[in-house]
Amino acid sequence: MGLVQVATNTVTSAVAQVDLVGITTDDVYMVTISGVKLASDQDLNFRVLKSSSPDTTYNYDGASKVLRTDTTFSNSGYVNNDSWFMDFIGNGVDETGNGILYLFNFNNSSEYSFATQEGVAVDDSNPTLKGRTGGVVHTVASASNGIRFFGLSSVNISAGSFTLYKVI
Amino acid sequence: MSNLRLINETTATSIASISVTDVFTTDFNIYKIVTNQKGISSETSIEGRFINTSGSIITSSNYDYARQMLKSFTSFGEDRSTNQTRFRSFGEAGTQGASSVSYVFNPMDSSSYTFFLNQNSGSPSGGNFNMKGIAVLKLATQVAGINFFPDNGNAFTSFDCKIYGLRVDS
Repeated sequence: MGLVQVATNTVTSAVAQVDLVGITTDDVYMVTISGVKLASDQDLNFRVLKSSSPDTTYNYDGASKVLRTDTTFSNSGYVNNDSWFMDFIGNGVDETGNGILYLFNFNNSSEYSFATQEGVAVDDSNPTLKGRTGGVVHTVASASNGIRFFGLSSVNISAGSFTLYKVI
Repeated sequence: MSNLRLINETTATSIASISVTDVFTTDFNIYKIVTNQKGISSETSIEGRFINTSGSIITSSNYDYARQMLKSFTSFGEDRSTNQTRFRSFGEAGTQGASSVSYVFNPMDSSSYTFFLNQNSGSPSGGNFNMKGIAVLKLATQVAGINFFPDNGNAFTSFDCKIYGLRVDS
């Protein structure tokens, strides 16, 4: 397996969202996130970009197992949401979010877009190790050229590296 | 040239602990680790610890981990623990071994914890034993390497590890 970098964004001052654009083929794409911090304890979510604009319609489904050290693991399933859940992230000095996504069918206008997700983060003042493992689907047969990360409740992203690769 | 760069390959036989030192550098923020145990002298979990920039294995009680265990021969289970001296696991190995794919995040960032993602598949005597896991070293310190060891103290019959860096070109 090889990787060709398509886009990258390193956040050094607070921003509302991070966009990774450049999906132009039917190949599988991979996204890495590392060292992501939010301005306050919150979820990091993501959406597809159509012609570089976010699709905010309620067509995002996902199902994942939430692994955590403070209590029993839980099942997280949702349908018709307006975005996908990625990581739970705290705002403490050492609390960051990290993860890997594989993107499928994003460029294909006649298929739904899918992604597998693996995340690991520390959140809350406890602090608690948490992570999601599962998958998501955008239930619209349309082409998307990228992905947007953002904090729920308009919480800014204050740090982190986001990179989009094409898998070759 | 691929942005996935092979930076270390370690092969060992008949050994109870394997350390890969000075493999994490500031050249990469994310590393992919692929392990393959072709056999082990007695069934056990393959555990991990990180190694500091002085080459010492970090054995302090600063590891948290959580793992979902998926078994072909009995109910699925979960395992979570905090303030441990190691994280687990790179697989539940039997005589047929176990294999894993992992990612390590920000090991050389002295202002961040070191995070770990893993999935693995093994074949102990009961059947197929797979895991998906997460872990963190709760020390904001530079981590330069990784140590693998069987939980029961026995020896790897044969072990192969490849470590890749995920290059980011600014």
